[in-house]
Amino acid sequence: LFSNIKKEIDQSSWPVFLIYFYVFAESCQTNLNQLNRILLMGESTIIFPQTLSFLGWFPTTPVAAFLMVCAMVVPLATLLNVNSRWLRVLNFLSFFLVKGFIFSAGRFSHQYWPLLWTLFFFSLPETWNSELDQRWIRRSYLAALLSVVLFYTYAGIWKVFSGMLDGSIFRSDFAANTFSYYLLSHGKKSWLGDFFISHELFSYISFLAVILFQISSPLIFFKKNYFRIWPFLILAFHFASLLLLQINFFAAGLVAFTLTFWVPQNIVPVSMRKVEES
Amino acid sequence: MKSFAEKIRWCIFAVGLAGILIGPLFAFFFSKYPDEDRWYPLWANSLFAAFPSKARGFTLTFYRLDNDAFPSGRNFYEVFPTFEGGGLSPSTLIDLMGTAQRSQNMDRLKIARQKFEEHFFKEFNQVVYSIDWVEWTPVARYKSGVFEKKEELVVFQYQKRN
Repeated sequence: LFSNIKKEIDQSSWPVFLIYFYVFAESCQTNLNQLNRILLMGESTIIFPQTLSFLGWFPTTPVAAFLMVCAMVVPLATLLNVNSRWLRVLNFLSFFLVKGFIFSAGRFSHQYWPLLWTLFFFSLPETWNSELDQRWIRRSYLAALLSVVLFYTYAGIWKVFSGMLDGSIFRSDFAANTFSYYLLSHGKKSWLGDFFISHELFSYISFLAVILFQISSPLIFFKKNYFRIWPFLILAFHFASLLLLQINFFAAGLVAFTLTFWVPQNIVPVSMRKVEES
Repeated sequence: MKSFAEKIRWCIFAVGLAGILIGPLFAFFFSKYPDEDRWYPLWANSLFAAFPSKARGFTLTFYRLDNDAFPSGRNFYEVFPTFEGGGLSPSTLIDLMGTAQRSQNMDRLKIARQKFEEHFFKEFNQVVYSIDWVEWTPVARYKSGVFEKKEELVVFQYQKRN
């Protein structure tokens, strides 16, 4: 099995393989849980809500279970053959629809947006063999990278803008108030959160640094050295937000780390490559 | 000359890229909370705050009648007022919560509530002729250093100038 997988992927599609591995692992974890709810607890309403109960003749439980199994089989098949475009398209649609179903009303957790965009752009090239469809591989990879980076840039811009709407960003208790409001309204408590709330100036400077980091993310396209440390900064950022506010956004962080850390050398511009071509 | 399939692929690529570039702008211009019935974008609050006389006409739309929640009738409430010129500002609320959280006792919460009401009257009187009463209804329970629930904000009744 593994030799077959190793034969499928080459140097350029290694991060692609990793991304689809995350999708497979995530699908298994989520959909097995949902399958448990559907089959053992009889909650097929996670797929077919109560508002559709007029479909009394419809066998909701087996169909919902079948959809959940398909949502695990498709990522596995894609993982075994990332060069099949139709499997990648099917994977994108399956991920999109199942996440929309589970989180209801087509609205799902923000941490899955970068992964969804990446799956969308990764389904465009005909193959991930770098010798065959090189230009589309390059375009798709850079578009996925751009979308993931803009995810963080827009987050930083929105922090600044919402702070400027009422002028609270110019006050030293901006960060402490933001943290305390979040922890209060979500009923959470963390040791680091208490520390940051009690030390206003420290948390303010840290928050400004985070905003600066988020807004300056597109610099990785222009600065070679920043491109190398950015994946570690993004992991540190997600780890800090987990400790401080108990926000688990590692589905986004792993995609960002993978796309920037294992970036294929034939995709990045020549000026960014680790080893210059002779 | 590109083939038909190649043109389709270019179209999908362009739509995806444009969506990622333009989508956040779209969300920015048309974002609103689910329980709000305002039609204008969020950032227009700052514009209305700059022109209070223009903003007066909009004030009524922020507070909706809910007799079921408040049986005494004619009580308006708003879950999260975002109007800078007329209602409470979110920053005020956040200040209150932050103060209460950092103070770590209920006495400070009372002081914060008092300040909150003063601020509320000060801002609200600029738009509305008179206020009958303002009630602060905390539903948070203070236990082992943290509030367990979010607080219900404010219930108030007022008369409009005209």
